[in-house]
Amino acid sequence: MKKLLLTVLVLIIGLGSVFAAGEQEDATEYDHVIGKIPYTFEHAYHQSVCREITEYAAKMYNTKAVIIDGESSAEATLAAVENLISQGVDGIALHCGDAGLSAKAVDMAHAAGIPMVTTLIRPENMTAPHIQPQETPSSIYMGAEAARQWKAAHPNTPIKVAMLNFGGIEQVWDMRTGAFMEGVQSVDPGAELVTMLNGQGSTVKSMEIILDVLQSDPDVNLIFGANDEMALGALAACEQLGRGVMDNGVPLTEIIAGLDASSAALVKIFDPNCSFKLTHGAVKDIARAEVDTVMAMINGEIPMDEYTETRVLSPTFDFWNTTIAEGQRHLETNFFYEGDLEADVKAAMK
Amino acid sequence: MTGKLRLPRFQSQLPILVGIIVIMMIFLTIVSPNFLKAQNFSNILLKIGIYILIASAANLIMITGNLDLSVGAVLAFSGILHAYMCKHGIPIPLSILITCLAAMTWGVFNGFTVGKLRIVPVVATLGTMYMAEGLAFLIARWDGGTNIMLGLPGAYTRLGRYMLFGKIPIIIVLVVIVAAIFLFIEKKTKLGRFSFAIGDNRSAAELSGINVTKVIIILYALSALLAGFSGILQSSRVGLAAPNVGRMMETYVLIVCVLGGTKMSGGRGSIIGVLLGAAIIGLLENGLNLLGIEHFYQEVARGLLLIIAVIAQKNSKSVKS
Repeated sequence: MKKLLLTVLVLIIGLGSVFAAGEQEDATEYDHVIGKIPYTFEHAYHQSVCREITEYAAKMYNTKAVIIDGESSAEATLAAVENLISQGVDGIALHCGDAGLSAKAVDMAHAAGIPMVTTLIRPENMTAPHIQPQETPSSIYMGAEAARQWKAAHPNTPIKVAMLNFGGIEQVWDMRTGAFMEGVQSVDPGAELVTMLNGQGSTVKSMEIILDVLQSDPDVNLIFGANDEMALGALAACEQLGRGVMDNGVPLTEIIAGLDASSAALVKIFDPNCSFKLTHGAVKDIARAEVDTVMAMINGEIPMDEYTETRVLSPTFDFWNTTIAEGQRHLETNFFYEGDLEADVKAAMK
Repeated sequence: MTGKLRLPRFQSQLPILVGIIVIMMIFLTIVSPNFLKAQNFSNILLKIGIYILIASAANLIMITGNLDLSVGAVLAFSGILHAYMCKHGIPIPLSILITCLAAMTWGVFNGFTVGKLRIVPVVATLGTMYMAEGLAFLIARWDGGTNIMLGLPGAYTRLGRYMLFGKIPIIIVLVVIVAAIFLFIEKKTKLGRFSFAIGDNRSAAELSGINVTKVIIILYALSALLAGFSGILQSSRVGLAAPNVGRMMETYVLIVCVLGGTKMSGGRGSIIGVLLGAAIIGLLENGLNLLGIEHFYQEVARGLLLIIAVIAQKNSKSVKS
């Protein structure tokens, strides 16, 4: 037993030394090291943002990006900030769901003399540069387009909306759920928001919730998921009930909208017989804006303790107004997609 | 006047559970016109079906005085593994077989660490939970994303969405079969009797010739097998596999078992209790969703229910299954 423990110990020390040496060598190759804390690594969107940040920082600034998962948790996010500060990174990019927590994180980084840029959720203190994806106008557009399509097909059926959100993130209402509803009501002022429940960003949870929602109110005809995972869960629920279908883009049972514009969503959106029809999102521009802003602070081009807002478009993709070629381009440039969207759509339709 | 709060005592927790279910059903029938419909009961059964499948075996583990926190992670791992193999050309039946074997390997590992190495079950299965979940994320990443949906064969959803006689979802049929098997195991087999004996007094069980390690390994393997099979069913039903789907599953399974009267220290519990516990959870969640109650209140309600269950357990006489 002693021999075994000794062998394990030697192996750990040996491997650790090799790894540490490699890391050190790696870091000296770069001019700077920046940290990135995504909201959660569990979503395709955030994984792609991190990958773009890593590649773009290396290519454009010879800078290494250290990624630590925020795990959609306050504790994990703050621990990640502390970790990056103790590593002595030159700058940090943070995407956190809580405005107060973001403010605390900015204060911690500034106290250590490290510049920080925040994304999407504006921090309470607003003392650092911020990247703001323009989700609100895109969500309003999606709501309006969904309502227009429904009304064109069913002029006499009142619009009833169900929504899946994250729960606890107030700005999601302004940028996603509330904005979507605003768009719907711009077309049909009488449209009713039947319910809004927390899908927890999960496909399975969202499916279970929408099954209950459709049981409670079978007349629901517009469903909005505050991310694509939740919209896909809503679609699975509809399909289980024999719904979730369209006739070559003409809504029969309901229209589903999501957010993030991931490959899984676009495959459904371009299927003419599927009721998941709209989404919006951008990865590349947001990731690049984060890197550019952090590097500008590191290089002293902009102050690190002054609030500035860089606005980034969040393009919309829907069955009726976007071509499959545009979807293909979006996935290639944003989600590192290497497939053929048209072929994937056809395969999924089988 | 002693000043102590005296709650009514029952011979068993089961009458209390049935009472709660009846009260909930009456209440929901009054407040929601869509509650008392066949489709809604199908929804509830589909929701709790996965809990029951996993809790059937996890309950026996709890009866031995142990715990399995890795069920959710094994479920997620299995769903991802199955989707990955199907996507890459492995025939679906073969993929199901391999996935079930892989899931059981986690269970055997748990059984070995808990039964043979005598590591505290919470710690041992927590370790497995992290490993299985990490691997699930890795497999998804090897596939190029956070979930696997693109490129799955058309027949992938056939199992999860299959309706027996065109009306009864296959998951419900499987739940009935598994529950019946575990009722048989609990009442009529050595495995069931040995589980209660180990939960009552492990040392006495060992002295009386029971191979405790073997029993624990078998139970953990069964628990993992059912978690793995549930992962296959769930991903097939949704039409995609995601590594985060098993989050909190262990908590739900624990609540279902404790609500059903299974003692956390072991020696007491039953599959009937599990079914009733799951029914309460299903009715609660369904009811709250039907009424459009916000998530935060749902969490409070779930926590409250667990505490009530523990109090009820404490106040019921310790009658073995």
